[in-house]
Amino acid sequence: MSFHQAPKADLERGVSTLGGRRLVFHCHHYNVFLQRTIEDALQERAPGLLVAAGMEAARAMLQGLEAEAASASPAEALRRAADTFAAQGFGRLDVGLLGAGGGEVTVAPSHYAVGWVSRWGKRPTPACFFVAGFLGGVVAAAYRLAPERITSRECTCVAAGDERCSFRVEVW
Amino acid sequence: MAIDERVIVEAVSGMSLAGNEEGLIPAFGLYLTNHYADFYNRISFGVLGALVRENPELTEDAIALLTEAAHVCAFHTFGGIMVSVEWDALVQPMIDSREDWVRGMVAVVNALGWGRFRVAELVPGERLVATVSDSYEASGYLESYPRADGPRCFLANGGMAGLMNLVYQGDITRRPSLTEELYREVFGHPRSFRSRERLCAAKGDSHCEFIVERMQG
Repeated sequence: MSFHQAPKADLERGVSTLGGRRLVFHCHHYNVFLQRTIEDALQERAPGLLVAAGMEAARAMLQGLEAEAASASPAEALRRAADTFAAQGFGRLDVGLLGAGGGEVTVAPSHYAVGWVSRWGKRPTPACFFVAGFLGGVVAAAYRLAPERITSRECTCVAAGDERCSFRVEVW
Repeated sequence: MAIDERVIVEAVSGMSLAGNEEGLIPAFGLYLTNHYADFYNRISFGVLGALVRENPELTEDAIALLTEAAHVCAFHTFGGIMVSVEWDALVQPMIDSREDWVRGMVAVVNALGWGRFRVAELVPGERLVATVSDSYEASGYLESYPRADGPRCFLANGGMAGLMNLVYQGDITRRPSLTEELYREVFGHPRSFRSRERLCAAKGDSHCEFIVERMQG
């Protein structure tokens, strides 16, 4: 059973939305090139911007979906988020160990890691900042937590030579 | 047969571009994402703001970085689409001239969620004027910032230049390989196309408008 909801398309306006937020198609070349541009420009401050943006985008969309049709439980909200993530082309999330206190999540494969490696090869540090942010936003939305209570980071990354992309979400 | 935008938009929208069993969207020789406009806007306007706050003289350099990302996007995304089997099946039968490659690609863009693009003027090999309503960049900007003092649709602006470069500089009609070497050759040419956003909803205009012309060399 999939909990994914299809985006709403207004073909006359060229607008597509999910949970009331705009969606736009872009390819891996743009996604990883834009990320690299920001990393080069902001250096050590780049991860903060990229993760925060991912968290805010995910939280806003999921809150919108929940407002339209509330999930029966936080676990169902997590599943809905994972199905949505996959439908959007970001990869397959395993959120089975995620709960109100955070937890570990794996993504296999991750669009950002696949895209980075296909364009530039391996890098020394994890690449999936958007995914880390997305997971923080998911926990915030599913458990109705203020986003500042949540930190999320990528621990291992295929783009950095690891076997899988894994993330740690923590809630204080 | 002329380009029928409605047919193209409905067909591309009906392709169900959604993740496969791996959660990826391989299409047009690319990995696509149906991503959040909020994310792109946050990181693009965020990096611009951070750089400009620290060094206002870097404004043009920061915009150039974001425009370069848009050129890369256009080269690979538009280029990938225009050499794809999907293009051959859907758009190619409607093409009578090189200019139809531009019009056909603009029709495809209108199925990507970027807003509604229209070709207002197209001088073969020389100039494109394109308008956009509901630009995701301009509307996203206005959600979080006061009215801008300059244009803010960096992706669309670079994208329109990229489209003209693909059609008239890189001759995508010959279906070249979309290599980094070709990218540098096309966009580094002294007579390649560049775009400027003359009107932008983010600075209070009713819509966005892009003027794409060749550099003077």
